[in-house]
Amino acid sequence: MRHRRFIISLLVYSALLGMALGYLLPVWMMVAGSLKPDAQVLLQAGSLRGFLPSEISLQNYHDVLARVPFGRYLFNSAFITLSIVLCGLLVNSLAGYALARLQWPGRDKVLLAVIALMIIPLEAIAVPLFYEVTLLGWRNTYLVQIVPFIANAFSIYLFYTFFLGLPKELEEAARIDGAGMWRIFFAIVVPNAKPVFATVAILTFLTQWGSFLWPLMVTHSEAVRPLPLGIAAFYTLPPLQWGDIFAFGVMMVLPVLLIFLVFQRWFVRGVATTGVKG
Amino acid sequence: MLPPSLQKHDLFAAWTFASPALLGLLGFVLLPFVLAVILSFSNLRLGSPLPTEFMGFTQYQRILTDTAFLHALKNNTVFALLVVPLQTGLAMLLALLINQPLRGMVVFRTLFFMPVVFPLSLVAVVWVLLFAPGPQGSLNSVLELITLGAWQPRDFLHDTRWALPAITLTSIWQGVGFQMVILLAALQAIPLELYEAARVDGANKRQQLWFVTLPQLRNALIFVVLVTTILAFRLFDQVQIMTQGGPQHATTTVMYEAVNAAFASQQVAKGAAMTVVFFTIVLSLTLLQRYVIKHEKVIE
Amino acid sequence: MAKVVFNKVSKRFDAETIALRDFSLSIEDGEFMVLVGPSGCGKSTALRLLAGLEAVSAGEILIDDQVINQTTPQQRNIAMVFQNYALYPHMTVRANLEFPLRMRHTPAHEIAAKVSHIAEILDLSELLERKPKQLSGGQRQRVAMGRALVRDPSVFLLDEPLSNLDARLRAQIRADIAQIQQRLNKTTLYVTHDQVEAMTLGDRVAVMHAGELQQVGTPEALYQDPQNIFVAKFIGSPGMNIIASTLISQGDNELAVRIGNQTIPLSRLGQQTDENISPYLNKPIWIGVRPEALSPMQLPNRVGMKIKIRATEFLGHESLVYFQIAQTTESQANNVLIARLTESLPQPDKADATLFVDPAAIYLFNQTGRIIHRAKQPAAS
Repeated sequence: MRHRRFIISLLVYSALLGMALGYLLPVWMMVAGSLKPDAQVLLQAGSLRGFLPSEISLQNYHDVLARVPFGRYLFNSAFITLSIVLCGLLVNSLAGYALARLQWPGRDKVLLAVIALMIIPLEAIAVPLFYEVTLLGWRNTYLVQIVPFIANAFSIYLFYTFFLGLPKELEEAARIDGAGMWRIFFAIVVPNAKPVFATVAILTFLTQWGSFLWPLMVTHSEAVRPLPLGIAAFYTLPPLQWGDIFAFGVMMVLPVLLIFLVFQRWFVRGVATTGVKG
Repeated sequence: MLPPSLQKHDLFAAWTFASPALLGLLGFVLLPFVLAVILSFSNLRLGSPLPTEFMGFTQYQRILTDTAFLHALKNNTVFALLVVPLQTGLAMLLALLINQPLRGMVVFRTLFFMPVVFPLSLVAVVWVLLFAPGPQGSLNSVLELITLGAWQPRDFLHDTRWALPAITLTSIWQGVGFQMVILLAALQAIPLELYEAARVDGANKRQQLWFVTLPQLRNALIFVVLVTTILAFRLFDQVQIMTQGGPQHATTTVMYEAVNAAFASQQVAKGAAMTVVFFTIVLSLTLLQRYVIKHEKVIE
Repeated sequence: MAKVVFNKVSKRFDAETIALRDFSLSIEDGEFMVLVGPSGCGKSTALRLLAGLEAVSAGEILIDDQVINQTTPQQRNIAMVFQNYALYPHMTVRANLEFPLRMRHTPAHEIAAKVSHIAEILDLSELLERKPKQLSGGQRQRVAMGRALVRDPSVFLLDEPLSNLDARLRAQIRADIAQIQQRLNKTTLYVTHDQVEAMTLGDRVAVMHAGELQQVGTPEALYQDPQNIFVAKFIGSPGMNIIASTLISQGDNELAVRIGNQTIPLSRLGQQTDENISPYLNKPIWIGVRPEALSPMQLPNRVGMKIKIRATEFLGHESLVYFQIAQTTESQANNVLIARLTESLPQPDKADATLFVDPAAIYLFNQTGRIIHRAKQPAAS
């Protein structure tokens, strides 16, 4: 019996290891490529040497920092994404709660509308939205990259589903104890809703950090542009400097990766709770 | 129903709570979309000296006879049919493997989830290199190694038969971790007693998987399939960066065509019509899925 | 102090679901009233209507002669102990106890005083800094009660507070609740499905079934004087045996009931009662006999009933005998009845036996279940 279990664990480990290695090939390639001089990257892409740089140099990183105001891009991305996440948490959770717990005329229709709106991707409304923000005079600002994305149908839906699943008794007890609506929400519901707040925060962060099309459309100065646009600067003039591109990629992903590694357990628990509830 | 005084109170609270989000959705999602619908009935073309006129359904007729658009529809469908089962199946496999009571599983969970953290545009860029043509291309050489030389190097991204599968591979790579985590959590939520009861009833491992695990995973699987399907129809970033819709429309998607029409060729109305068609398709799919699922839930 | 009145209150959840129908009940100031009944009988609905957590569909609820239908829970001076306690999990015990006082803007020093007072009464003083998940079931129960009592409400509501506790703890806390209520003398409405709790705790008990009030009265009144079959079967452990029979008269104006092939004489029942009973002559009726009223001993004044024993449970101080009436039809034979015997059966291993009962202890019910004739109460011993 122990014998069999040992063999099974061996199989599982080797399967996972094998898949993990294959799976992380692209990541490794990116990291390795960022440490090699440009010319070698393409040449060695096919061979094993593509993954083991013979000469490690940080030249690419220097190039990137020299060519592009990386620090500024990083700040912009962080500022924009955090603003969207924080404002979004407040605004969308309130709406989700109103849909889940309060009675008001038209509530069911609004819920259906929210679900329908979840499907509309940014690309579908990009052009009219572009005109809208131009009329508002928001072009080339932080505002234009933040405000349209604070209200989010998917986040509202996640909050709605979660709040539906909370046992009503806590809120009822608070009502009997004399608490008003606002206090019930902030003092009783929110502290017991940490998983959904974590999930929405993380999902929003991931989506917005990589936002590319919209900033491209509505901004033109480096002062307000986020990281993904920076990479575009390397992507235009051939020959493509893969080394630089990878260095940029590594630097772009590193902050998110670090946050992810630190908050991993919240992350996974948050993502899983909503999925499991379905 | 609440008594009148409670109703008024609730109503006020409800509007205060919900209005910021609803106003935001109204102004930045619904309004532009309605505008897009309206535009789709016109012939708005930026930079054209001709005045804009109301055209009825002409735009729709045009796009439904446009080869590029029809290819796009086909591609989206094929893509969805490929991605959803493959990605879900792989995620399921990984979740089952990682769910074993062995040490270090958290590490694997982290590893497989990592690509989710990468922005899609970055992922696309890296995979462009991996798909590089000729024997130096990474994927080509790996395949050559595995098949012991039987593999002929291909230019994936420029080959009409391989381009869409290539993009499918990229998407799966990026998306599996997300589904895996959800399925893993659902797996871990299954009470052990169910398995014990099954063992006592005489079920072997495979039967346990079929009769205990899968039914318990139903909700999570449904959620995952629904979300993946919707995302599959929104395919854009990878196409934009890796293949620009080619070669010969082999990888173009509805969204790609729409954005292209609106921005590249300035045919705003045409692009708008495409997005309306897109929205209708996805909405129907979603409603269909919800209907099917609701039906089953009642029996439960 | 408060008097609570339900005046023809109805609650309808949608077209088909009527949870409460024409419910009228008054609870005196300081009275401990128990609402008891099986699940779905409407008792929790009545409680929640009084709390203000649901809205009344018809009728009025009054506290101290003021109609409160339109007020919010926050405005009514009531407190409630929930079935699952509903303690705020992210707050300490102290914070849980303070919460209702903070909502009423009580000054800080008063809050501290009241909280320590209640904590002392309920033996919570050492637990004040803990969080609910660090407490046992019984401790959480006490915190829930503390939170309800800390602000001195007019009415105290309890929704099946003991159902989540194990049996041993239940008895203990039952006693605690009774003690506290007596000490503080609060008007209390207590909801449970357990008739033992109802009988031991209530000053008066209201039995409910399918949204309607069946009977309200003291525990003794309900036991001795059930108004219908439902109450007769519900009260008592085990409840009253109900047997289908036909009322006949046997010469000399003697009444008897025929059960299957057996005839059981009822002694002459007196002039007054004859008027109630004569309309039912030769008609099918139900008779009721409490398990405690049956005995294997043939004493004077007792009549015998042939039975077939199905099973016996020996409990030490008494035995429970599960039986069916002998010589009955198929459908009757399926009705398993129970007898509580303190004396043992003369031939314990035989299935055929005879049980004896004093006819004065037999209740008569008509076909719709209403009482026609109540048993005479045993003379005080």
